[in-house]
Amino acid sequence: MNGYVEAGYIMVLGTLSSYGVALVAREHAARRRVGTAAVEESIATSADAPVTDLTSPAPRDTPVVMPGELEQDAPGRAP
Amino acid sequence: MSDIGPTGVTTADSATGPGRPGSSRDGFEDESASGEAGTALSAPRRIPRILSPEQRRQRRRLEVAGVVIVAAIGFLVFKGLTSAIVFFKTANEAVAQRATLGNSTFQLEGMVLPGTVHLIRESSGTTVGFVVESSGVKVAVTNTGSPPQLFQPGIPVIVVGHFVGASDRFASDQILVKHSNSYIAAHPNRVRALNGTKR
Amino acid sequence: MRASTRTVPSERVAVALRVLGVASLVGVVATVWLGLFVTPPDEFMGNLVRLLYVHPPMAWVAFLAYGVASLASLLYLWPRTRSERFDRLAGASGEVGVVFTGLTLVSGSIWGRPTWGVWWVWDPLLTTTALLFVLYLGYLALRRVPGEFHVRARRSAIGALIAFIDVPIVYLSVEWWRSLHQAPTVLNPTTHKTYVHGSMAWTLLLGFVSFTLVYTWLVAHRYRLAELQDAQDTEGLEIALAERRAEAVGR
Repeated sequence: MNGYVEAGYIMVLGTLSSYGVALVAREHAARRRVGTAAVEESIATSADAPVTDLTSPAPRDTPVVMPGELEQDAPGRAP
Repeated sequence: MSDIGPTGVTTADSATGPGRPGSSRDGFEDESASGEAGTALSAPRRIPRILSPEQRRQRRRLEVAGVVIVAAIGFLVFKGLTSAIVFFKTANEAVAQRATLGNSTFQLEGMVLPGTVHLIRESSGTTVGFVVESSGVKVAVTNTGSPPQLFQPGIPVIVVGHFVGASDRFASDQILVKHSNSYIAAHPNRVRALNGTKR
Repeated sequence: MRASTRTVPSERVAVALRVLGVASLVGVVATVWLGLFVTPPDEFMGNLVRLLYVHPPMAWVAFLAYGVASLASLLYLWPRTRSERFDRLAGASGEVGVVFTGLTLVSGSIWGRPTWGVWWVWDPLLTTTALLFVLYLGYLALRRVPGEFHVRARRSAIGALIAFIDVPIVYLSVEWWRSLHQAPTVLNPTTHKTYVHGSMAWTLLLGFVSFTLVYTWLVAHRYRLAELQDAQDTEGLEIALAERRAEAVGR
């Protein structure tokens, strides 16, 4: 055709496929690092968990942060 | 924050007491008691306060990115307010504002009148002369440099340049071809492939 | 905890993703084939019209991506629907949107050079689109500013909504201001009559559908990556905390 058309198509398709491949590769790498079992669990529990706000800590956060720590932020919980 | 800080530590301290030994997961209270005691007055954070060199580098990168992005936004808003709002003047507007425009550079828009396009060959290069028209007002344009490949009579163009001297002649160095948003298949008989491909 | 009672059928999700991936691949291949070899050249543009099948779909997907990111951000900000999922979705969609905005600018530039005669002009549509690109780059940077999860998520959500203000401005710029760029052929904000010849129209439509599928696939993968990264962060945090605890015990 005339170079511009080819350049446009190559640019678009090339960028999208490299981005896609990079995403899949990063996903695989992350999965390896985390360990499949842990991931399944974390996905299953985090999927529906409401996110922490000041008044109601999310279930997901419970295993990580104990109430004692969170309470530093929460008013009205002083002993 | 600073007034709840100490109480927070007390709470955490009491939590490490023998009352709840087994309830801890990964012994988190130990960390909040001993670790947090040193930085009791700082904002409570889950992430350890001391930044590793990697984290510091990341933060620096983020700061640089932030500055660049804010600068770019500023630049684009400026461009939008100065160039983009009035991207061109139509031929009739330009002639009406002839006096105030002087010899300043601006974008002039108009339809290329059929039958007015003529090539002028000079030693310095190709010059093309034509007349653009808008709302019945005509402006003669001389453009230095070769016009874009889609340039032809009967289409709207925007020429970038200025009026010459005190005349109504317009000297441009750039022709922008406007295109409608309709796409019509070329008639097979009129297909003149751009470089031999025949479709 | 609703979560514990519901397990994500990760295998079914994986299969669905793969089907989606294949469908988008087939769609894109078909678009390219039709676009490059089957459709006729335009009577004015000649073969350059073939960029029609990729450039507008890029812009459409960018808008769609930012729309999804804004919706997810709103759902995150709304206390009753607040969920980590919406923060992740907003982030994933925003990132994919930036990729597509970049491609809109690049493919448009490549199209502009032979048709208009320039790679770039400070035309309202182009300028506001460039601004859109930078605004959402800013959004992605904002997401990386460290902080507590909900703090980070909330300020990101607000950022996403602020950036979205530019989307209608881009869309209507061709009507509000004078532009070198033509008004959109599809989803035209004005009532200008547009005409796209038979097979060209179908190919354009296929382009829109295919690249939308590509968008969905990319967002799904970006979302999963975000999920894994969060899990990794949590794990890393646990390790770090365990180390500090060991330190404390040793003291």
